[in-house]
Amino acid sequence: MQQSLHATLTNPQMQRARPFPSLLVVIVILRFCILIALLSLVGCEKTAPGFSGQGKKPVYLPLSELDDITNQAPQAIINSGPIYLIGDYFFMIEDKRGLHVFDVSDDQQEEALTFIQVPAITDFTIDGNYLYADSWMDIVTIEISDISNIQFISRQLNVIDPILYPALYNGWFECVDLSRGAIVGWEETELVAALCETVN
Amino acid sequence: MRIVLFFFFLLSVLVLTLPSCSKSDSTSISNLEGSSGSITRFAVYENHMYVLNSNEIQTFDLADRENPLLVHAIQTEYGLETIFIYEGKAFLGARTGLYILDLANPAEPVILSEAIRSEVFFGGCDPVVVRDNYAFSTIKIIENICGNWNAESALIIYDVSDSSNPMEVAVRTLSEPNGLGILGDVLLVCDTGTDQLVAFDIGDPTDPVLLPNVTLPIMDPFDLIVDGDRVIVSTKTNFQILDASDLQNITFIKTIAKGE
Repeated sequence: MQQSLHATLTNPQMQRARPFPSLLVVIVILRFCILIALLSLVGCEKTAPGFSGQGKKPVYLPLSELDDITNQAPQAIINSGPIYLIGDYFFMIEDKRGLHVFDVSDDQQEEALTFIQVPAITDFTIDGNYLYADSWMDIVTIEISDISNIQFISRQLNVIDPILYPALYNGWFECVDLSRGAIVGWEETELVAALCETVN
Repeated sequence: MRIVLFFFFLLSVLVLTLPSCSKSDSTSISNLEGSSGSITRFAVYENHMYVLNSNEIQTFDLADRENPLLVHAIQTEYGLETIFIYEGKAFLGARTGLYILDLANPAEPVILSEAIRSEVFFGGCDPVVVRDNYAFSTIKIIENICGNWNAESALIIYDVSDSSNPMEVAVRTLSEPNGLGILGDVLLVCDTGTDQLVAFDIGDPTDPVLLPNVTLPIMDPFDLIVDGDRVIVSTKTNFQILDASDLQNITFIKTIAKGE
């Protein structure tokens, strides 16, 4: 059952057509049109539209890899996110990569139990033996009764609006191309004619 | 013969139950109540899960725990960021202010009110926690990134005794606050701007008093969970466990930076 589910879920033909509203992002093609119009009025040379220079670009993960939800060896915390405590277990998001799980029952001796890889995760909650997390545009259900042998159960498609711009950043970036996969990070780059900018 | 069979039955029951008893020792979490930090867009209440998009409150039915079913959605203004559930109500931190929702019917939350902040705090990023009749909300303004250019970061306290008409009762300026939590009469706020876990006495929530002697230095504090008389504070690259059994003297127990 899970196999067939997996197959349908990773079908690249899958429709992911939710609109992506975002408060902060303005695509400023219009601004450049006006600029060019002004420049040509005063007889200056025409420049290519967009911004060229230092900025950010998305790091993509193919959608076919979103279902790689597995236990991994414990890892260093690099960029933490939301946290959750249940019983002796402390969960901490590693942004867009997965969940660190620690046993915090003994104050003198901590124990890193496992790292649950969940591609494109940013937030989650737990109810009983089930962990629910976002994963790109979807919500995934993971059975965690045995924390070192978790089971990926299901994926509800197209219920999350992921952030399509670099968070806590003010500047230019390469616009997101949804056909290239899920965003799992942003990296510094030399932009060429970038058309997207975060504005406050 | 019957007795012998019965004996075998008893024996097999014993053999079958013994290993499962020892197994369910400390690993089972199925019946435990968990707690999240204050910065989250997910919450569970009465077999329903609430998930926030920037402009949408979605309700999932968890009757089939393995397949959350989207049953309800409310559209809002853009800017929803956090959800905190307290006594049958959901409190949402948003860039525009504080939403309160009634969960009397968990499958169909109803917006009771939206407290719009004054312009000087507009646009900030902010979680909220609630106790008794008061909601405690932090507003984070980062110049040019989060909030209006002339806006201020702050702790804002609302009287929410009337859910349909929350009243702002106190404001305290902060540097760059993130998550927060309550322990007795002490409110702890992760203030990333000053690298401190800032403590306020909220014995009188309308007049929070800064407690400089309880405030602790922590690099880049992000969020916290109160666990009995311990506090777990997360930062960008680690988490710290604090002993808060003496509220006037919260101390570090240990820092955990990696799972190795």
